Amino acid sequence: MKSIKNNFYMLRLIWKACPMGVICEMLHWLLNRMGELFYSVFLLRFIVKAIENEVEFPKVIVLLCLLLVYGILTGVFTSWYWNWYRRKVKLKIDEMLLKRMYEKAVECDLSCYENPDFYDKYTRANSEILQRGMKILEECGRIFSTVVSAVISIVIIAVWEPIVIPIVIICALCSLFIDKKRSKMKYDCMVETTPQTRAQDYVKRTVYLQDYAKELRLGRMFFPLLKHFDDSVKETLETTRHYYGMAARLRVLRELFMSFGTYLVAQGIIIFRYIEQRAYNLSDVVTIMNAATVLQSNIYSISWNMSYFIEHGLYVENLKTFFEYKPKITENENGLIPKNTQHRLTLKNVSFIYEGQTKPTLKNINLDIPEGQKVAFVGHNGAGKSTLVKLIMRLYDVTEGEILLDGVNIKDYKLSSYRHSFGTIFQDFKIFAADIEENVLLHPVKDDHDLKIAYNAVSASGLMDKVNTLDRGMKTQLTREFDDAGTMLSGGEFQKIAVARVFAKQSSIAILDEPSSALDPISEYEMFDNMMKACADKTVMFISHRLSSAVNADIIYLLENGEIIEHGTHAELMAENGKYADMFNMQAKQYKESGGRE
Amino acid sequence: MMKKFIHIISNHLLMVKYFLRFAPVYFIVNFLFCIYVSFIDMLTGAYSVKYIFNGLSEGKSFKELFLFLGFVSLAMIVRHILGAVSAEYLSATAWVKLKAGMKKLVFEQARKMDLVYYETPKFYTDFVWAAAQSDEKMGEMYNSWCVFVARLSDLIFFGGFMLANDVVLMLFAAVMIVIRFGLNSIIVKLRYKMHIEAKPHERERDYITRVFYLAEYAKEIRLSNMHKTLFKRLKDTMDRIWEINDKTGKKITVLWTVAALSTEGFLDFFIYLYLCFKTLVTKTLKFGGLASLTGAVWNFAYRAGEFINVLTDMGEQSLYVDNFRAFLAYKPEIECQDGMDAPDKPSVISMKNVSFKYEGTDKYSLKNINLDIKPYEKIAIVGYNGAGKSTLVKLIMRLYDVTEGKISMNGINIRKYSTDSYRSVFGSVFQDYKVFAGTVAENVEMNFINDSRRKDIVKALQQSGFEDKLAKLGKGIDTPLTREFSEEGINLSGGEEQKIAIARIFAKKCSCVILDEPSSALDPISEYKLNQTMLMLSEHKTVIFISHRLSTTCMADRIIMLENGEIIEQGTHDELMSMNGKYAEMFNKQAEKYRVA
Repeated sequence: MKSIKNNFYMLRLIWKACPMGVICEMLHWLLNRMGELFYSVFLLRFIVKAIENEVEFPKVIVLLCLLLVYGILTGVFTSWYWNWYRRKVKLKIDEMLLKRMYEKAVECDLSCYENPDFYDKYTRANSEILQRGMKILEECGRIFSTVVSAVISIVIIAVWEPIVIPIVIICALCSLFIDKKRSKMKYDCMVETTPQTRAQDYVKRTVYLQDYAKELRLGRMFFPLLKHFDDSVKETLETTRHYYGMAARLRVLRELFMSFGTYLVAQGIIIFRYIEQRAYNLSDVVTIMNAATVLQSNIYSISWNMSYFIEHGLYVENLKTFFEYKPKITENENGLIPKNTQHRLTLKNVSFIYEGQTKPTLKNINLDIPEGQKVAFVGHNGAGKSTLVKLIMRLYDVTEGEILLDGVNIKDYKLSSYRHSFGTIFQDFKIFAADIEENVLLHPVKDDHDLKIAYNAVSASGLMDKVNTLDRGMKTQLTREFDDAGTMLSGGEFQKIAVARVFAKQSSIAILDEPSSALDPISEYEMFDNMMKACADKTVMFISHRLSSAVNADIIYLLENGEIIEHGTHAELMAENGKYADMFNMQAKQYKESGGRE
Repeated sequence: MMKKFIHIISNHLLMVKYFLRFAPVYFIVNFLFCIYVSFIDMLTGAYSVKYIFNGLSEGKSFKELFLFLGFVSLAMIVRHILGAVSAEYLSATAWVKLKAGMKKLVFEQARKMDLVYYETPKFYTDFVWAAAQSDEKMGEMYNSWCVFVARLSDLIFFGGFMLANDVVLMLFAAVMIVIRFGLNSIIVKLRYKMHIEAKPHERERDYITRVFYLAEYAKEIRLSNMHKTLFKRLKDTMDRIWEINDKTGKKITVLWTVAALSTEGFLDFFIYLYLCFKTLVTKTLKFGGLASLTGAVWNFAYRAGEFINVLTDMGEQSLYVDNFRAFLAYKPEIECQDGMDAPDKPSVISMKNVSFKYEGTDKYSLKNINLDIKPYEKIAIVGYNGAGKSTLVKLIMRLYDVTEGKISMNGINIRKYSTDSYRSVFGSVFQDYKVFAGTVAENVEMNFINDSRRKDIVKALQQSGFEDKLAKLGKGIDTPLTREFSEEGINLSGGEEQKIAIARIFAKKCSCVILDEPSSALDPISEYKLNQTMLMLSEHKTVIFISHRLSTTCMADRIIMLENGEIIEQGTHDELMSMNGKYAEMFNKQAEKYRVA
């Protein structure tokens, strides 16, 4: 029942995107089925009548001509629809589904990506989105036309031989019921073997993916993995034997109903009534018997289509969960818009626990960052630095406490405007397959003003020299996603693009989350230098492992286990001689001992 | 032509051979089933129609007809029992065996591929990735064989039925087949062309999908308006895909209409006209004949079309087998080579005029490298991103072979050693180290666990700083990592995984340690501790390490500075500093801020 509901959910979506497509698809399958009925039931009946001398031969020709017209019309329609219009329908459905999916992806909370259950559903919904829509439409068309054809056959049979109907229907219901059980067996088998399949896929991945290639060659890890593979195959085989053995038995049972019930008994009754009781004419026998054959094949099709229907239903279930997900952090349309050009950011008693965890990642954080301050966050891996930054940008909402911008709780601002106040570079920043301008602006280029901003940003980040060497300058396409000849820049150059984004955004607060970890020393040095120059009047928050970059900050916060344990300027913290001083000295030791130019 | 034909057949026979190796029973039973099914189709679709309708009009007795029906339904039941056994039970289990068998066959071979094949995209897609699809391709090919057998027997059964009843109809069928086949082959070409044209746009569409799907883009998408750009791109892409579809779709529509009208329209009309004429006017055909023959013509023509299509498919599949054959015939140049045993004590590694370029590129990644590494020496390799540092250590471990020059250990060219034995000399951690699904112990040992080794593994984990975490694990070193194989598996944090990777070196009785930026993701304290332990434990080993943090490198006996694939400076830290060259510049830039304080 649920699967029918789910299929209709999808059908409704398709209807909204392209009602003509739904109509044409239904019509297409209906014409297909009706042709079968016309030829095998009505035409043959007519011919038999002609044999019995009830109809003249010329009349048969007229009927044949009518059928010819029908054949031509369906032929033209089918060619037009199947080869041309249906492609348009498919693209419309694709576009609608993709757009919905993307919009939802943008809207849903970042925490969704960290929730394995949810992400798993998303993965499944995403993986087949381009096939399922059309398949569901097709399945609906098939089932619809088959049902119509079955109803017509039943009516035809009922006119002459109503007694056959209950027999056929009981057999059909039994076989549908058995089939449902059979699908369930197969589904259970799939569910039960999923862990095994996953394990096998994993081993396959380790052998084929480049990431693992080096280590597999340098050690003997291949053999333990192969053993896991063998074990999982053995287990899959046992499970499959068990379930498919039962499914095979059920299939035999179903065929007993179909062969005896709908074939032997139904046809036998009709022949018996004709020969022994002369209940009707030869033309009627032909009609009923052919209608019964059509009905039998319809029942097969329906039970066949049903199993697909159920499969589609399961797919749509995932899609629905995703589409109907209500994000917690929503665009507050009536929210305030941050006005000032400079902002004061305050965190009051902020605590945060990741979903599904019990230990807080951040505990009781109190911060006050006035306009224009340069703030450094330092600490061990996993101390909560990145989480803090994400809370400030409202990628997550705090579990306890509040974050204020210019004295107003950030939840009261309009989300997009609030986030617009920040320019950010993450450690794992991404370059998009787009031209340099778009990669810097991160929105479509609207006018010359945008071009100027992009140009200035790229100049400020120190990438202009490189851009000038490229044939298409700022219009150069980056990455090889679309074109094997696309431009690839080095890691350092990509990083400069990320830096340029912050400049281009002209936001009042810049946040840098370990932006330099992959850089060689000189590039790192230059990047920080540029950053500080360009952000002279902005608030800057940065996270770094290299304490040398923290030295010039106005204030340094040292985090440990989700708490701020030390804060102050570099000089203050060094004088305090606490953990920060320890860390700094450890890093500085080698540099200090080995003499340089000074 | 003949040669090509034989080639295709021999390719298919090769795959049949593998199929028979893994699932012989299914192979035979299912083909018998296919033949039997086409017999039943003819029986129910043509012969019984004729028999019953003729019987009815001739006034046969009920008993006779009912017996016949009974016989047919019995034949149908046999078909379904065979179907249940073959298509349901045997097929499900045979495919598990078959897929696993093919996968293992390919694993064994892929494992022996030289690393180069993984790192040059063209080879990778043609070769490694293609081989990875072998089990799926096998499925496709098997389906083709089934269709081939089934349609061939259809042609025999239905053809036989028609020949026995009305030879003229064969003519109609022949016309139908010619029209269908002629137009169809043009349509297939058009479709293929359309597919090729649309491909780049589909690639763009898939890229956009990926951006929205992958977690690593999630933050940036939320914090910017990039999604609007991408939406616009999607719209444009879809429009362009439609343009291509529209253009070709119209042509196909015209051809298809011609095909449909001439066959389903007119030809059909004439078949009926001909049969009706024979039945009604000349009275040479009985009604049962008419009713059965109309179906038979269609079945014959339709199935003949499918038979021709499957031949085309089989030709295409043969191309894949060519790749697969090449893959199986591949002889590795580096992996699994026999040779001398490598020395177990640290020995001199020397590189003479070594140059290296990656397959398919013109630019040399390393040029004319001369380097002698003495036993127990601690060597640091520094340089900008992309200077060739990682390539250098990969050459030393013989993950690649040099393009020019030679590398020798103990004065003997490293190609003379057996690869396994030579590599056992080295313990290494890369920047992109991987933790495998397996127990903690297996991950350290990188092999099956021998009981006598357990103590050493625990010790190695202690040395790499994993001790505290290990104490918290319920099953100790037998705890499974990752959830790939077991629900109880645990996921480690990045830092913890790194400690496992480092423990590998400590557990391995190697004489030379290679570290390729293992500390880049570590915080300062962990990094410092790691460096200390590493140096302490490697006193009796040769150490080669790559690092961006120059504070680490100054502890080295010798520092090698690479730029654009060449060694531009080398010496101790002090020597290089007094030389005041590029190294000194780099060092000072990093040290500046620390010195201020």
